[in-house]
Amino acid sequence: MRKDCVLGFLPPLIIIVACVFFWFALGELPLPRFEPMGPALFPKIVLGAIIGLTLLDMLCRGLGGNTAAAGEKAREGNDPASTRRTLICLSGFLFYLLLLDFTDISYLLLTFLFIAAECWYLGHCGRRALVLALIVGLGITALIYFIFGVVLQSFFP
Amino acid sequence: MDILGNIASGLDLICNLKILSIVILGTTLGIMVGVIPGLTATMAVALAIPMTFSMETMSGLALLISIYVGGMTGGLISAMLLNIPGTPGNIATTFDGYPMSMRGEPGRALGYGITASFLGGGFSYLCLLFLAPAIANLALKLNYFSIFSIIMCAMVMIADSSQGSMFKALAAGCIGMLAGLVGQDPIDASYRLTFDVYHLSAGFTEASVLIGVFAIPQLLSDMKNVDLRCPHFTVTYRNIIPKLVELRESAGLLLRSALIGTGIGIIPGVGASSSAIVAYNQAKATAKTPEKFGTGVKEGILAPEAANNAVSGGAMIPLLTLGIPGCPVAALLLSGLIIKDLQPGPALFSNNADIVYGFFLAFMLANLSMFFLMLAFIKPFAQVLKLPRYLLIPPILAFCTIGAFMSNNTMVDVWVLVGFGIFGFVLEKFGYPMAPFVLGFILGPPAELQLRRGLTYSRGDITLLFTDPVSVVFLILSLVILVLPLWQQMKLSRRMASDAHTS
Repeated sequence: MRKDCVLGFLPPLIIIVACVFFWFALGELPLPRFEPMGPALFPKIVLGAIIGLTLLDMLCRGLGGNTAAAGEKAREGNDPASTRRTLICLSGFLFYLLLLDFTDISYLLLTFLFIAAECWYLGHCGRRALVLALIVGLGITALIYFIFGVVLQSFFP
Repeated sequence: MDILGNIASGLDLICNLKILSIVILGTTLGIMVGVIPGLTATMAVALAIPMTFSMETMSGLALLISIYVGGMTGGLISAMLLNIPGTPGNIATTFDGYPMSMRGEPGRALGYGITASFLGGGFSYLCLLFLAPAIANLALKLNYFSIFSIIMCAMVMIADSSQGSMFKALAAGCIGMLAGLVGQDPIDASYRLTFDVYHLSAGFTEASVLIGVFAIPQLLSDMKNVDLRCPHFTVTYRNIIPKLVELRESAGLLLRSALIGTGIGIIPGVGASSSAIVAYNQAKATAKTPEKFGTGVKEGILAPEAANNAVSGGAMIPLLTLGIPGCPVAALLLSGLIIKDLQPGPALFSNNADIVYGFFLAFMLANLSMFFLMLAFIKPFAQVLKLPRYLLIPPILAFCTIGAFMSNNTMVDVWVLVGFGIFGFVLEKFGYPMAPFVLGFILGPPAELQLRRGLTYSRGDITLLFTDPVSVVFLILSLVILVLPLWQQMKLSRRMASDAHTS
């Protein structure tokens, strides 16, 4: 219960702290020269609105006695196996992007490998999943090449 | 020459096999672009402009128009089947379109969406054909403060139509606005919230943010429930096309939504996403069972789809009559016209009436082509839901990556996509809805621009915001939308307390 309460109140607090930080960052902007508002005022109004609305939401939840609800909702459905699967897939995706950004390996080859590997892993690593993953990987890579390389004649990452 | 004579000369220009095949090709390309998250109609029209250099005037314009119409509609497919809006105009379509598809009725959902798009678009093109100059003069009377109030009203409306806490929805909208304000200030070009990072100087790319906050959280949650299957369904043409009785029942709703779309399309800088949200909200407000919205009701699909397609006709009215582009695609079409030595404005109607009316009729032809092409491909589209999720998630991630990269040909946009995706996932987990966030991101910069222009024009006098009649109407409407649910909730809790006391 206490953990849920903390978890429920943590994001609004982080949002408020971030808003205060951005508020001070905006304070360094030059003063307006030819128009009354200047570049910092509208973002400051928006920041004020975010802080006000977040405080109002926290107050309403506090008064309604459901402070733990947001934390509970955030934690629901978090079974370890599916969370691990999601994290592995997300890591795979980030690894794919890192390779795209920082190496010279061909985009099409990397995309084929990424799609095939992720399909295979999400399909519980079975033999049927492997065959389907290879077919889908090849098909989608060819489609991407056709749409972006041939029709739109754009660059690849 | 009278309107009918002009229409006849316009028909003369477009009624040939060449134009017809260009329109079919353009619409197909547009639909393909619309389906892929990250590729927008704007991008496709921009890419097609060089192709029109060597084409005849009407052929070139027909290509651009058909890509635009196809792109505007194609986004509903991924919005309904995958909960990932293909374009910002399809955000409201996900509210009821996706639940209806997941209930095992993807054909019906797509059928409603396509029919509403066709009817909404058709209505706005008729307005374009017969009322263009008169409506444009009316729209010009709106001042900066009125437009600012309309934008604010759209923000409040989307917060109201979101599930959960209204404060959180509004806060999400404001966070989106703040994200939209990062980069160069639109008036005096100073850099805001960039922290001296070069890549932030132009702000975040719309496509990266849109795909990030919608696609990544959805895909992460799909990874968790990878073995979940959509209920068994069969798609037949009988259940795709809405029955006449159903359309007659919803005629009022469709007309209101198309009017909203056309009206908002005329106002520069507001756009399809706002019109769809406003139409969705009016549908909910006038429904007999508003509590069912969000569970997959047909009105929740018809209203936003009719409105977002009606924007395209509306946006052409100030473009052709006054030379003012109301949205980015209109600006591209303006350049397409100028390339062909056609200067939009009142003189265009007297000097090149045949081309102008051919332009209008090309919109209608593209709308018709979109309707039949989409209906023809509904069956294969709907089969997407039958595929196991493990075969869908990685290809969508790959398309999202290339879609985000394509915006500026830089990997920075891909990292922005990932950053916003994770940010959106966390915010959503804690009850902050993402639709207001995206709308805030899109509408934040125009809202600021209108307010600052208004204040410059009035020499800092903010009272005009509260005295201009149009502005006052929209501010009062926003206030009512904000206060009404809170008042109803208070009344309900008071009644519950008194019931508990008496029992």
